[in-house]
Amino acid sequence: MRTSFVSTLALWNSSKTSLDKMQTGLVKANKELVTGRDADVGLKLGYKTGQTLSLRQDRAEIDALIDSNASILLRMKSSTTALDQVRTNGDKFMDALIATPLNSSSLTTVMYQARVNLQSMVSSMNSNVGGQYIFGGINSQEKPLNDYSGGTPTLRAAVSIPVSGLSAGDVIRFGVGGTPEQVFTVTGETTVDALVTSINAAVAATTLSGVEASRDPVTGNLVLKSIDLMGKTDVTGSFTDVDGAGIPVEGSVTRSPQAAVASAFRSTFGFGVGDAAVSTITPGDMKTFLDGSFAALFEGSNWQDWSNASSQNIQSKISATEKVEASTNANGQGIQKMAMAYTMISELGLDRLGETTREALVSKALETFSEATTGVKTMQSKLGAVQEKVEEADERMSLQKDILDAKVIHLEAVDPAEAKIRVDRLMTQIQTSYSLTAQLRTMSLINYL
Amino acid sequence: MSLSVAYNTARSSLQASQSQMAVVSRNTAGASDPSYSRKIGALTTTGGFARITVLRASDSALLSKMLETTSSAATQKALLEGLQKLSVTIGDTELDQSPAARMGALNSALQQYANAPDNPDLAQAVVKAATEMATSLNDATATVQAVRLETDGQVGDSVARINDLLRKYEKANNQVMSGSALGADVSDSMDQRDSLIAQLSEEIGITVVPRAGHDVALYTDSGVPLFDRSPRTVTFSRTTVFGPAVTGADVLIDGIRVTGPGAPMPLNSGNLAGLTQLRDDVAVAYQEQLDEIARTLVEAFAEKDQTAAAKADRPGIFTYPAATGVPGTPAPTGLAGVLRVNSAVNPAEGGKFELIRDGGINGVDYTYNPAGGANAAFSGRLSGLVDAMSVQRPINTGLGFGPQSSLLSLASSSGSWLEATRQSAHQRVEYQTTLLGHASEALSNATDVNMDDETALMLQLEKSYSASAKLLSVIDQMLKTLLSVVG
Repeated sequence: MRTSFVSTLALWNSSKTSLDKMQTGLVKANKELVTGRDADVGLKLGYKTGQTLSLRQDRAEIDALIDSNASILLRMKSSTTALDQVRTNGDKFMDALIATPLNSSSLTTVMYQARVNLQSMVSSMNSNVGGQYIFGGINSQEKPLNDYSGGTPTLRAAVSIPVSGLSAGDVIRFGVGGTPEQVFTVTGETTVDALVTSINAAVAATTLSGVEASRDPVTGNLVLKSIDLMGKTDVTGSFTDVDGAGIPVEGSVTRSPQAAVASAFRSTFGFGVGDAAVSTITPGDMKTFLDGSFAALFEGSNWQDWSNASSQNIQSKISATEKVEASTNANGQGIQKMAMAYTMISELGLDRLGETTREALVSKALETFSEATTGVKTMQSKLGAVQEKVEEADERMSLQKDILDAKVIHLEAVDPAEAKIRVDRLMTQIQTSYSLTAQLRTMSLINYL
Repeated sequence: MSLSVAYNTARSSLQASQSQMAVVSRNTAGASDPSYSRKIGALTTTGGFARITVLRASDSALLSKMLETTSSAATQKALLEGLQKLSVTIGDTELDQSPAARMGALNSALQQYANAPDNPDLAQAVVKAATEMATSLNDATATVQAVRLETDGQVGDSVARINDLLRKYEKANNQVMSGSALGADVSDSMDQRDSLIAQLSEEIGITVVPRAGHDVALYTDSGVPLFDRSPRTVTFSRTTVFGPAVTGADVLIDGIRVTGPGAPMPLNSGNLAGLTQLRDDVAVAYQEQLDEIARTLVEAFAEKDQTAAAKADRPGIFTYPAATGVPGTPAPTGLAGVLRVNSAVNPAEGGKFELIRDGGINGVDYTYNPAGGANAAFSGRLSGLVDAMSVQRPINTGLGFGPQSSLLSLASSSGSWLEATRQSAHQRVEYQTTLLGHASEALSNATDVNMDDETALMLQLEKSYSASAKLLSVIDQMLKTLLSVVG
């Protein structure tokens, strides 16, 4: 009867099996010592892997937000600087206007200065940061403010009507500036050129009015152009084939602030700004004009002559939870008033007005300037408030980032000191195991016989 | 005459010592063969004569314990190997290559684009992140299916090996039976038979049933006969191409289905059980999760009709071939493999970045930007998409992630599930390996050879032999003396 029995195989294998385990452990510990992270994070964490994945997602989101906050801040700071400039210029000009005696010699300088300031305001509003017009609201790829004179000389509106298959009985309808629709019926014309001749003849004969016909050399369309040289007139038109339905075509409306102002002046007083009759305008008439049709040019849909900006500001997400309007736009009341004030001084024939009318105009301008500066200040303070929010969010997020990093490290990292101790321990164990194996080899009864 | 009796006894003792020496040398030769079991030369003395009977050291309780742990360890090993291949789809968390990390990257890219919608560079980044997202799901699907294909091949190999072992087993069993009927020494044949059983237990869980006449019948751990007088055929047909919608063939033993859902007598352990579990359960479950992630992506990025007509939602940035609409739960099988970024938003494929910002991939009715795309800094749609990634939406409850999850957390949950499954498989493998180590050490101690013991025995035999020899020479001397006195 044996009490205990060890087979030679079990004895020899005893060090081998544990050696495999220790060597695997050594490889793992070495890797951990070098990287500072667990050798197989997924295996170590198991179901907690999702946590580290989520934490890394959050971390990436915060990185993205901090990145985009930097460009948001850049946009807002640039906006503030531009508005500062507009406001300072306005203030200075107002001071100058108060201080300057309005005799004829200084008038031209003042008017010139107003025009220059207006231009500078327009270019401030057209500031571009990183390929983005910062005062465009959400319409950030189009210049927010048009040049006062519109930049392009083509002030006249036109409509390009595709005409084909001309036969007697076809009808061309058009309207100019909302006037009643006019109708031209095709009789014997078969080409667009023939149509052009007939329509122009009809206009000369006053059967039709308001347009000048031509043929578009590129498309071959019939072009009806408004003959109003100020151009504040849209043209609509349509061509109806005798056996088909009409296709209405909208005319392109080309309007500029200058055209709008000139047109309003002419329709109120019956003569242009350059006319000698300007001196006959009474202070009352001027006041009515300024409060009425002139003021209307800087509001509502008329403001579109000046501005292409969207009144909707850019909504930006500045942190995981906060969304703010992180921009302003050129449609702010401050900008409208500022444009109005400058235009009053520079464009309404200040130098030709009678003295009392001039005083009325200047005092109205001063009033408008102070409204404008207040308006710009309001825009700035709104921006400032948002800017503060963004900076706070940045600060908070950088703290959050540290916390997330710490959490990830807590999950994935190993203690390097512990890993080092493990390496040392395993190495000692492996060495012991080696020397044991060597001793086992010599341990046989045969050797002692 | 008692002197001749003494002579005969001494002679038989000499023979017995020689036979025992033969056993010792057999044992010494087999000392390093793990499947060799120690032979015991049992000495019986009847009527003054010594005889040797060769016995075999065996322990059926330890053997069946070892078979059981071998099978269980093989199951878990097969499972773990597959899971390790699947976990490539997650990779090291630091590398940010898992679907969850791609999801995070997409979220960040959208976030940045939403804050500067007029920047085409950021739109490019969104398209890149979206493409990587789709590619990571495509790749994960390919990996899952490659693992299934490989596993299917391994099932085939395992079945072939089982059949081969069963044929060999039949021979060994017959040798034992006929040998023992003739009264021959069958201990070597029995060793061979036990070694075949041990090999078989790696592939398939078995129960060993000893019968009369040293016959041993084999049953699977679920009770299907594998060998009973004659080997039963194990059949399986390989599948050559695996797609998410393909179901692998089942394994049949003697016509009885032992794997697959609803099998009447399913295998519980062994390599084969692990492989089929991997191919039919784990990989399929993971594929379902990937498909659900793909489906929720399509759903979250879908475009809604912006007109009063309110037509059905249509796939937006993420779409799939022949898409007719936004699929509901459960996700169409294999969606993750075919998910792609809509070419309408990728300029490299003739699309436009702006459609991500403005909507309208599916026509003007689906345009979100009110001015028909004129507002270059319109962020409503993009913010909507960012929100859609973190909003809770109903998901396939069969996945075990609850009734609702956000896109971001669904991807993380899936990663968690895979790693948790791998972790528990790894722990079970470690446990079973340790257990197997103990079981085989115990068995080895019970049935294997100790060389020192044999050497000691050899010395003992040497003494016994020389004593017998001395005895013979003394008896010879005595006889001589007697004869000379007589002579």
